[in-house]
Amino acid sequence: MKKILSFLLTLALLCGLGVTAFAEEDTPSTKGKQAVKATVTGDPSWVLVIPADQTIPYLTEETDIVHDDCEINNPKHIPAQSTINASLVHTGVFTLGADTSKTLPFKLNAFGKEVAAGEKVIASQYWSDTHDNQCYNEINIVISRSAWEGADGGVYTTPVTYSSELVSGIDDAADGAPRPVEP
Amino acid sequence: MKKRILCALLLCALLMALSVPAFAAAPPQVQTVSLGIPCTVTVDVGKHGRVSVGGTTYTGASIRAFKVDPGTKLAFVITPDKGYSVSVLTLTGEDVLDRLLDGELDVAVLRDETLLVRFARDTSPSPTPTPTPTLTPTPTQKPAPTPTPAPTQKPAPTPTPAPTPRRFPFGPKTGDESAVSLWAALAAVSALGCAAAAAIWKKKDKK
Repeated sequence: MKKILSFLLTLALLCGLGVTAFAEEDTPSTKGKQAVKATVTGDPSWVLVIPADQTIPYLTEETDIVHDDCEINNPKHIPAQSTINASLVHTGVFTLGADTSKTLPFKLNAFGKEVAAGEKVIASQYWSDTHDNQCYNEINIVISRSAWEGADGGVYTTPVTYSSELVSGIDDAADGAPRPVEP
Repeated sequence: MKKRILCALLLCALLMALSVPAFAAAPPQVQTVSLGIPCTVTVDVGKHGRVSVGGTTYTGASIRAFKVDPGTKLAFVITPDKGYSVSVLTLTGEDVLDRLLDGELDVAVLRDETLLVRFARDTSPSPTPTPTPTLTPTPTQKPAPTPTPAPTQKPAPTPTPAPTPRRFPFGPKTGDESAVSLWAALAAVSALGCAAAAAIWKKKDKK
């Protein structure tokens, strides 16, 4: 009996160790993007894909940071008449490495309007009625010439944080354009 | 009893293995946007030497600046005049004299940097202490070696306080001037102690 129990426990141990080998990896189809799995408690699930890290060329005053690379993939069991909104927030400043005292300010414009630091702006939407995923590319980081020229030398970074949520009801398109009609 | 212990250990290992997937790293949700701004490198060179970097040479008593992209690696070649050596070497206020290797200092530029170099007359006991500044191209330098910063230094005939050679006559000269006989005595005492310990151990074994 004890021998059988030991054998079963060993077998269960080996099976448990095998689970980690099946961890999700970045596939070629998401090259240049980062897959973020967001599982909502219960049935609905989807995969949020966000843009890859990027570098802004020196003295560039306006840069699109999303460029259609924010997607909501593999939606499953999404309730009827609901919307998945993928949003981003920014901090408003680049910082020089670990030296947080040295900063370079910037603005974020989305759909022609300025977005304050910490305020959410929708970067992608999925509608359950049309099963359509709309990605946006009018979200730009704006750095003035004076900010570029006034900053100390070095490499600056800023985090852009993405999140997604399921909301009931069919939201309007974030850019104000008419939504695609279901064929 | 052993089987019970084995079962308990396997059960613990099983529980730990099941908990591993829960510790898997959360997928990233942050996009990092970066940018680089050219860094200003300032070279402040004192008299009696020169600094070369990137094909440009900066001679004594000059301050020059240039710009490079962040992440650029620079090799500063520091050459003191004959009879002089590097006395001060700082990089943006940080002492980096110990990083100077064969007259070269390697720097990875990640921010604005200032390299400050100062030279001082070499005080090592050389047989020809006459200062001959013939290598310096600047015409303003006078050959008279007047005010050196150490007034107590004289061209003394006995440069080191150690009067007797304390190294083996057949060995290479090292920086260690301690008495060799003391170390030899210590080694002998250690060997005697080891022999005594071995003898005692053998007696115990025989008993």
